[in-house]
Amino acid sequence: MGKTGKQIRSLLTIAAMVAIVETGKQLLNALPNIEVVTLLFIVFTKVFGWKKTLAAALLFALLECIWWGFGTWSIVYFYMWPLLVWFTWLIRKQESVWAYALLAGAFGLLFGAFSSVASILLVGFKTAFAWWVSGIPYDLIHGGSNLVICALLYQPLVSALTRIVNHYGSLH
Amino acid sequence: MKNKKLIVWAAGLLAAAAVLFGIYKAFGPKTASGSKTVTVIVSPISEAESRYELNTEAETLLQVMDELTKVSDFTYEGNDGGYGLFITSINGIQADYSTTATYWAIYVNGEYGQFGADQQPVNDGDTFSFVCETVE
Repeated sequence: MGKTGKQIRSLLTIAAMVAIVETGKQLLNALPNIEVVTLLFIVFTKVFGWKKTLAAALLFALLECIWWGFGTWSIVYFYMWPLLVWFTWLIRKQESVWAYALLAGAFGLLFGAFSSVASILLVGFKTAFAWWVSGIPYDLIHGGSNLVICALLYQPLVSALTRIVNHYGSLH
Repeated sequence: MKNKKLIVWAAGLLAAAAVLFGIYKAFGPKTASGSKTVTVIVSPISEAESRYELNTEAETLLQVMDELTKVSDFTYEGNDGGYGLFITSINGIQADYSTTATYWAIYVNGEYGQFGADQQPVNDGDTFSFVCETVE
């Protein structure tokens, strides 16, 4: 495959990732803090590597801002999902599903704390701390649901995606 | 990752959850029972301000809002976002963050509210203001 062909393939892969993540996000929007975005970015980083997944994470953040409107909170989206990609890349050699389930759980649990870093800069420590504290029950739900979802779906998704990648790889 | 390492990580996660729960218990909103008299003010961007007085035993602002809908012309709409009730309309006046960059802010005794309506504690003499604000 030529250089242009590889670039087109990369772009299509990134577009497909963004479409899948956004669809997953919208489908579960009605359930507070139960989401598959964390699972999908972990799986994508594992299968497609950090570069393509980082691009997809940034595009997803942009799409969310276009969908919901740009606000002071927008900055959170632009560092939270890249952070998850980075953490996943750091543990990419781990084979146990529990390593990724624990990462997903920790990410959900600390989502509010990481987000409040931006809030401190925007609204000051006192308000940011109060916002974070008031969101802790939701962070606990987020962490628990992330852990369960990842424990159940990580392996089937990685296996299915790896099969697809290998299949299309063999065509060229 | 070896099992021992995973167990340590799992224990760390549980400990973090316990610490977060402790922080919420120590610093989170605390409701109070008993009778209270509260004032609710609705300030749209262009329309006239509305004012309501309520004698209530409500413990959260959301309960006050629900009671007001039964005894006055106060109305509200909202959806359950990721972090509690997100108010989209008060007295029929819509705030739309994505199209008009407006939202309903909650002020408690003149200060910007730190909790959502479903978590905001109610104390005797409190004044809650719903102010339709534009994001700058």
